[in-house]
Amino acid sequence: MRNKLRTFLTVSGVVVGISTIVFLVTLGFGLQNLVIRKTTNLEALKVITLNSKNKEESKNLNSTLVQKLQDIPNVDVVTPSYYFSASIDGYEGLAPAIYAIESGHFEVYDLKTKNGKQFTNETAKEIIVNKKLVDDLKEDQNQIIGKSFKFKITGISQDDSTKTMDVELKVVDVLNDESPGKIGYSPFKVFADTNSNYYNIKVKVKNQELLPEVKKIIESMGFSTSVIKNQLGAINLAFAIINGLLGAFGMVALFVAAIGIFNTMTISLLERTHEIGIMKAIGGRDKDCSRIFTAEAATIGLMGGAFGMTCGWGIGRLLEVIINFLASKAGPADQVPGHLFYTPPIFTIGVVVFAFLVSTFAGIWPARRASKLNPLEALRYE
Amino acid sequence: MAKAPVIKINNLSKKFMLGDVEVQALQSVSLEIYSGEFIVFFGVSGCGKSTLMSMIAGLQPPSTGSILIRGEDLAKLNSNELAQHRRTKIGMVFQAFNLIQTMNVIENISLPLAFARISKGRRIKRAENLLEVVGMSKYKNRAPNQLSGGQQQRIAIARSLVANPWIILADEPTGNLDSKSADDVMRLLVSLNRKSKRTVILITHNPDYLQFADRVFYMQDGKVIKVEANAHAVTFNEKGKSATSSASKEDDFVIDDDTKDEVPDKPNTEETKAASDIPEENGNTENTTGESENKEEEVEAKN
Repeated sequence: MRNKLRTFLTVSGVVVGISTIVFLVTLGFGLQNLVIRKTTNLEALKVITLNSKNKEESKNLNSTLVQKLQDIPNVDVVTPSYYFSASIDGYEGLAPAIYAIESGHFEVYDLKTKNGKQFTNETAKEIIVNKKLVDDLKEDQNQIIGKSFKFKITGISQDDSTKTMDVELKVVDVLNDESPGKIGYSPFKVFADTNSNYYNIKVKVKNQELLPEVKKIIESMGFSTSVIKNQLGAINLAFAIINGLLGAFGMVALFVAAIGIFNTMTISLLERTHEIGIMKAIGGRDKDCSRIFTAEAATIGLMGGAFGMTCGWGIGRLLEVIINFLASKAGPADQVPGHLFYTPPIFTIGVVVFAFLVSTFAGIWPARRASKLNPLEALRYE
Repeated sequence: MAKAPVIKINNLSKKFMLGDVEVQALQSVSLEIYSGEFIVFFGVSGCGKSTLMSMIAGLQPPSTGSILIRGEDLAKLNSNELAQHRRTKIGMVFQAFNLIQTMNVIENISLPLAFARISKGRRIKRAENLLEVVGMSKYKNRAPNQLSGGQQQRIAIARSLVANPWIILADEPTGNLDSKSADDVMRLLVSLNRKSKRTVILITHNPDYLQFADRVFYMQDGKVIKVEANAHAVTFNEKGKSATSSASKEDDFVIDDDTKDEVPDKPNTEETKAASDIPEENGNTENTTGESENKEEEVEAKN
């Protein structure tokens, strides 16, 4: 390390390159995790939904099928639902969607209520409404609880006739959701009399790994299914592309840093030509001379990689803390994003190794030049 | 008694191009140098003496002819073997000292041992012994540019000795020094020859130094024009007493210490051990040990 300032600046170049990569890529990973965390839950990843694509299929979604599905190995829960369009007495033009679901299986639907309430029982005339519906009812999220509304629901019964039903439902809780649609959930059995077709059937498997197997069995029975995993795949793909792009931006910075290392090594080679001549004259081998340069380049890379990793991570953490602080000041607790940056351990090691390799590579040519120097000419070089 | 020469040069010529002009740096030089001799190559600058020295060191190949060091033809060595040759058989001392400025004194001295993969502890120990020999112990952590020219040259001499070489090649070692420092350096070189029985080859254009030589090769225009044997080579102490008052007590002590440490006729001294321990990458340890025995024998023969 002949020129401390120059070495420091070269290392700084690598630090900037590596911390840019680390910052951008860990942000990518973090956002990916955030999206997955906010859109799905782990329970939801165990769920297979049987949809009805058309009337014919919807006829096959019935209690017999529920029984059959229950018999598939590794199936934990099978639960059907109804879907109705509804209107509410005294609220002209308000047409919420009402889903009738079995109590006790909220996790299958990925429903989270503000106060953690469920239906009192399977036949309780109760409803859990989402925030948008609360707003449209011109109610307050806290005060609406306990109030009753008169609903007129409309469904298609199994004999293809339209059936309506009047029912007064008491609001028991409000959903934590951001859905733009007006939605309410009520107990399944309240609507058994409508004799409607099932809207869908959800099958929850015992664990996530068993899902593809069960899915295959259900599909072999002639039903179309959808699973959250499919969407997860799309999310992951999208983020793989985004991470790739972010990483590529960081690579540009690292490439510039690599040129910096190369430049430093080349200047260092010129400065040390005389020194190399001396070393060769007193018995240094060619590889002893080249090793000086590869070792210096590798050290720069390793230091730059380690500091860059730390810097990139630190900047990310700092930003995360600031954003979370601002978000918690500005809005409700569930709006705070939480972790925005995610640094997989393998990525940490990978980045440092990568910086090491890039800079060692940048040192190869100067090192080769050093080993090939003619000792006599190098000795004369001043 | 027929002695094998330590250096045998056969019909050596060296040409090189300076721009478009062909320069004949050496022309058909043949000579033999024996173990323990103090040799002076004497001539004006440009006479080819430095070229000859760099060829003995294996820093450039001959155009024609051959150089044999203890029977080994330098032209047959590859680059690693040449490096080993320079490290273990030749100790070089230059006019410009050629210390590495970014290393301190002890690192400079021990550098050749680092090339030989000697452990750091042994390197430092050996370098410290030699620092004592050249009387520079208290400067061991200095940077070379904090030392005077004479001091730097003494460090360079210590470095040339560190791997216990057979031959010291000194190219105008006093050329950049004031007369007192020059005397110190000459005293060291002469004592290395007289007391440690090392072969010393001195390249100089200073006629004052001819008196130390066993033999003088006079060079001119790339040829050896005259060889003069000097039956009564002056040792430095005689001259020192008459010509200069700088031969301090400390220096004498140093030279005594040098004798104790360097004379290769004590095979069990620290130095001999260190030298024979030097692991050579080509497995030539045997060679080194064999050589020091060989040297002993010749010392006896000479006496």
